Amino acid sequence: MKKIASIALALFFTLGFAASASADTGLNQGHQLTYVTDNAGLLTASDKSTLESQLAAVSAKYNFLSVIVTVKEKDSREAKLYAADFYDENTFPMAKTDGAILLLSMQDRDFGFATTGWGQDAFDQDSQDDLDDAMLPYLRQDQWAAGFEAYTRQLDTELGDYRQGKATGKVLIVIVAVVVGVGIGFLVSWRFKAQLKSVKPDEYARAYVKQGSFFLSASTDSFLYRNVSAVPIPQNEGKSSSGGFSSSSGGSFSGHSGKF
Amino acid sequence: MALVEYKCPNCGGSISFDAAAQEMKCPYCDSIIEVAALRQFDNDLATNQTSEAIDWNVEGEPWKEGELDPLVTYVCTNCGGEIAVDRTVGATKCPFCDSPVVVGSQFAGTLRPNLVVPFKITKEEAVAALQKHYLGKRLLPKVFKDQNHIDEIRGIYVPFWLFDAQAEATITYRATNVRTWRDRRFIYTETSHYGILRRGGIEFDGIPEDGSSKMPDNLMESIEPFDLTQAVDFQTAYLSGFLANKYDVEAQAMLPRANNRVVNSMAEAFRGTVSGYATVAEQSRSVNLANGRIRYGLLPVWMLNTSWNGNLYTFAMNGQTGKFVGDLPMDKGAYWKWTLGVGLPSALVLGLLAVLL
Repeated sequence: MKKIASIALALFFTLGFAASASADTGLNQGHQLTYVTDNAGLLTASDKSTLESQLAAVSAKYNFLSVIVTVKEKDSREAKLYAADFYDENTFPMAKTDGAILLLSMQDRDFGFATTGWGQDAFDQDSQDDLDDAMLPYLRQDQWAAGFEAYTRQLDTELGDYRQGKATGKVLIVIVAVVVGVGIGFLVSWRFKAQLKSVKPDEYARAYVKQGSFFLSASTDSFLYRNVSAVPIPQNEGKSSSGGFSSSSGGSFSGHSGKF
Repeated sequence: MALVEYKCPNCGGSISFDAAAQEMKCPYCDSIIEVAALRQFDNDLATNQTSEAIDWNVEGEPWKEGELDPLVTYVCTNCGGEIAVDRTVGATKCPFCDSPVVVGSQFAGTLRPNLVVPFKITKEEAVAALQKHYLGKRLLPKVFKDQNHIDEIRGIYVPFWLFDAQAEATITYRATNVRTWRDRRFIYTETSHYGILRRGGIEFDGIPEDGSSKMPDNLMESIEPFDLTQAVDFQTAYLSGFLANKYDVEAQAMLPRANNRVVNSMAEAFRGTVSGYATVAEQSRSVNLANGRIRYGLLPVWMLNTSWNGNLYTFAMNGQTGKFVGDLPMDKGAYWKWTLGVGLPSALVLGLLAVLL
């Protein structure tokens, strides 16, 4: 009886929390995501249309869903988590698992960047810094359209660099694999070649040590001194970590949050 | 020139030392004669002041001065054949009647060997060892195995200087141990430095160094070790049936080589007592030798020569332990076949894995 009551209580709180969260965020749960969702009303229709075209082009070029979202306010979640949840909930049940989202919350001038799929490899700390450097100067001056366009251009650049670098990396890996493979061949032949040579000088006289004659009359191990060196671990200052995190639904993302 | 040819007391035939039986054996009547019984021959040899002044009747131009110095002549007591041999040859076979003979007087005027290690490996075993030496050598040309034949196989008592010494050494080392840890801001590395001292000694017994300029030192060192506990007092009877050289390289000339081996072995043994450190580097080394003694011994070596494609290949076998060495030719085609046969499939597999992963 107690067990049934516990389960019922848990269900009540779970459903109640979910309903509350949905109401707070106003997310378009279950709806297909558009490239630009301007809930804060920052863009003109023309700017929005231009931006959507640019994001659609980038998305198609790299098969990488790229979206921008503005909201008037968000809940207490960190901006990057809020963005990741938004991405998760609005792309479902779309098949695109690779993508990035930029979210602006106007109430506290927070922004969050979250990326998933191969975007987590493409956008390392430096790449995310480059995105910020491209868009923040505009956003801080409320030049929304220019900021978003700068972001989209930089997104295009970073994705292109990653694709090119990955291709170059693969070629290098293949070259290394071939070199290692041929090296294995030479190693085997070298072993066989060494079998042919058995004449070599004996630099030691181990075989002629009189049994039991080895003795040590003094054997000391003295500690002299010690020294300690410290190497600083790179820190992220003024930004949240760009490392991996999970969205509320368990999706794997990486990204960061900040102010504009 | 004085010759000693051992005769069978039963039939009078020429006898020689039999490595398998470790006795003197008559090849004609199969009589076995103890080596000790022939000691008397040695005594006779020592007291025999045979002096032969061979009156050469030289025709044509006379020999130039010193031209004959490397050679000596002797007359075989069995068939009377006159043979010229290298001055360093102490025992050989008569090329006319194949009788084993010891050129006893060749050892006169030099140090008498302190010891001799008798042959334990027979000629047949040496030949079989050569065939075994070819096994498992994947790059050995097949035609080499099929076409080559043994040009010459010789059982030789090679003169060796045997160095005994008590070595004492003091060696110091610097060693380090490393510990690392981290907190939120730094990675720390702590290096502890140690000073290490080892002092002690090792006694070496009979480090052999080849005293014949005709024997390549590398080849002789490659067939080591010899077990000198099986050595016996020198008797010329052991030489019968084998070739024997007397030394033509003085012991002093081999001292640096022996010293180097002693020092290396000391360093190796001492280094083995330093453990528990991440790095160890030798700082200083002082090695002193005391009670040094040099003995002169004849050690048994089988030498085999084969020729192939115009090149001579020399093999050596320890006549006591059977250790066989000798560099072999390489089939370049097989070399590249193996290199590419293994390398290309490996490269293909690794390349595919690199693309797929």
